[in-house]
Amino acid sequence: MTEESRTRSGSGAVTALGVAAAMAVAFTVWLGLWVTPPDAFQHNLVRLLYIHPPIAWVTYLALGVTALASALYLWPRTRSAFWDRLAGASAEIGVVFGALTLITGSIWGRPTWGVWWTWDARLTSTALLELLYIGYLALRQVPGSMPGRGKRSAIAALIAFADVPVDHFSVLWWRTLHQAPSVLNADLNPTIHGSMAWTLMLGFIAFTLVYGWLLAMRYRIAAAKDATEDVALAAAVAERRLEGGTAGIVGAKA
Amino acid sequence: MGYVDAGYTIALGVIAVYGALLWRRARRLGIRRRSGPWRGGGAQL
Repeated sequence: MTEESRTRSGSGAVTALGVAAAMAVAFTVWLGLWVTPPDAFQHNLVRLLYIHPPIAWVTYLALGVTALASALYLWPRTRSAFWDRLAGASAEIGVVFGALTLITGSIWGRPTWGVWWTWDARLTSTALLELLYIGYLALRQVPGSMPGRGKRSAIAALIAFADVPVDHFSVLWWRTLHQAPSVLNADLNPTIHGSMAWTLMLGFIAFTLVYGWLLAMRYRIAAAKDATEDVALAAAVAERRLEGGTAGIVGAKA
Repeated sequence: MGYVDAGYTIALGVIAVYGALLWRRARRLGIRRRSGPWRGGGAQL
């Protein structure tokens, strides 16, 4: 298989993933807004829960991929630019979905709890998570050599990831306003059933597919940018060497 | 606009805009990559 055909098949797979993700999201929205019944207590507000937990799940998934890729970058045997790029690409998506987790949660919280925001353990740890990864993305922009930047970013990502389990288990560890998990609870006994459960499950799948497509696109951008920088650096080094060689000849003549 | 409509509009709207921006940027870089300098296409930097 030539590089050209590999690139083409890779693009085809990513396009197929994008189409599947768009269709899955559209189907989730249709089920969530028009097919599923209103909840006995939350009425139509329950419809927000077909997108809020899946978006929060993608945040965890994205930050988990960042942590894993960072660990593989730090491990000398697996260290490569691929893991560094993957970590950065996934973290950016994690920050976007983290912001949406806070926004959709806040929109659900206003009519349910009566407030847009409260310093609840889950809300606070999610906001902290968002700030930590915004800081991580800022750290990645600090100029420096690629190995140095990669190493410090990887360490920062692993430190920031410590907040993920705190965020997830905060509803069990502390008395919070936020409800306990409906699906992944301690008994592994979902408290949601029927079409509501299926719609929620589809939401998890749909947003995971969206994450996969976004990651592929974001990674490609990072790889192309790195390649551009490598070529620019090689050209600058060659030019400098040429200048040095000319100066040497001139110096020898003098 | 109700809370449900607002939540869906913001969530799906942000994801759609973010995805479109990535797609456009990747497409531009992809076009440059095919004829770009690291594939022997000449100086485009």
